[in-house]
Amino acid sequence: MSEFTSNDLDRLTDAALMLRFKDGDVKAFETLYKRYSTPASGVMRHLTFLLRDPHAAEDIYQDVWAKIVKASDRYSEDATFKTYFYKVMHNAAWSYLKKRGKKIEDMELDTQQDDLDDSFWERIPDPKGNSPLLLTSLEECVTILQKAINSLPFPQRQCLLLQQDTNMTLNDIGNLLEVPRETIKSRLRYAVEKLRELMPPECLEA
Amino acid sequence: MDQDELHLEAELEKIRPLYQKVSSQSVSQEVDERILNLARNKTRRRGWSIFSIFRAPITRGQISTFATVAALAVISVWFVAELQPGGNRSGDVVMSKSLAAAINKIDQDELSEQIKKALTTVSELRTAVVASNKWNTQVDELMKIEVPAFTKYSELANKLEAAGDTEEAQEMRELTGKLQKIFKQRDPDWRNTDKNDQ
Repeated sequence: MSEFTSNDLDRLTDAALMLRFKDGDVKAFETLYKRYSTPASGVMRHLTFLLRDPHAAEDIYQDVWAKIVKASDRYSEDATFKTYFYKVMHNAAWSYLKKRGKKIEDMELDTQQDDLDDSFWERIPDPKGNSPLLLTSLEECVTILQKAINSLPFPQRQCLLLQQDTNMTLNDIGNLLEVPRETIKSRLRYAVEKLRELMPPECLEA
Repeated sequence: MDQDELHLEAELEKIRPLYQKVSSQSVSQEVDERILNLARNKTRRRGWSIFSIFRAPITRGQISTFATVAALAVISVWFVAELQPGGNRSGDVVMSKSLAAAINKIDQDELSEQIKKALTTVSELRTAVVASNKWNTQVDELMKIEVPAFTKYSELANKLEAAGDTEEAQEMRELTGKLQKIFKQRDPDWRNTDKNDQ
């Protein structure tokens, strides 16, 4: 069906590609898929953080795309494709966690502190300056950030990841998660406070 | 946006550069292929599916309905073939106008009418399942009338041929042959069975 060249398709928006796929243009889907499957898209990072399990992340990733392909007949441009994509993803992640018996309350409490062993915390400098080690390496900051994000309760982690990866507004995130805007704001505030608490200042100020 | 929100946004922006440095794992090629194949299959299915006009996924119910309709169509074709003696196509078992005219020409009006009636009965038999009660009853009725007159049909064919109506004679013989087949289906020994005695 496609009389569009690869260059033409590259210029189309995600939603336009999805609509062309809906009309039977598989090349349009391939172009769209490429946008979301490269490491630069951060999709797998998002899912890995969300589920805190790289294997589960790959399973849910497949599940998300399978759902998008199967429901492509009903796709409409009500929201941007990115919003739609992340909504499907978060719903799938939530279902997965629910199936594993995780309740939202449990996830609130589940801070995975046990993942962060003593040696790790000893290496983090005291924000007041009594640092056992001087942290200047970028890699170390990245590692600390990873662990800090993983230590956030699920709802805070979820909001932070959406904000960082999609640049969505508070309203957009609220609509996507079907949670009031103020709740999103409060979750983000707690998330930032927690990261501030766990991260050496130089990592964030650099 | 109030001060509080501006502050929150500024804090989040400080996290972003570091967050972007967290590497994102690659998806395996196998997973990529699986997803792309799913999309290819989806567009292929849209191509051939008669349900594609509804722009909805094919449900099990639709597949079941489609299979039932297809099966009924096949069975119907088979029944029609079965119901027609010798597997002839619909419309074969009627007397042509030229045959009727040829019979009238040799002044056998009464026989012509009898043949027409017989052929009408044969046509009606197409709506009944072979060897069903309805079919058996109709064939029995037909045989009561036609079997005693059967030799007349052969004679008529010969007369038509003698009168130069060879095509009509051939048609007469074919019709006679069809009647024979029906009778044989009902009773393999029909020539020696007197239906009037049953």
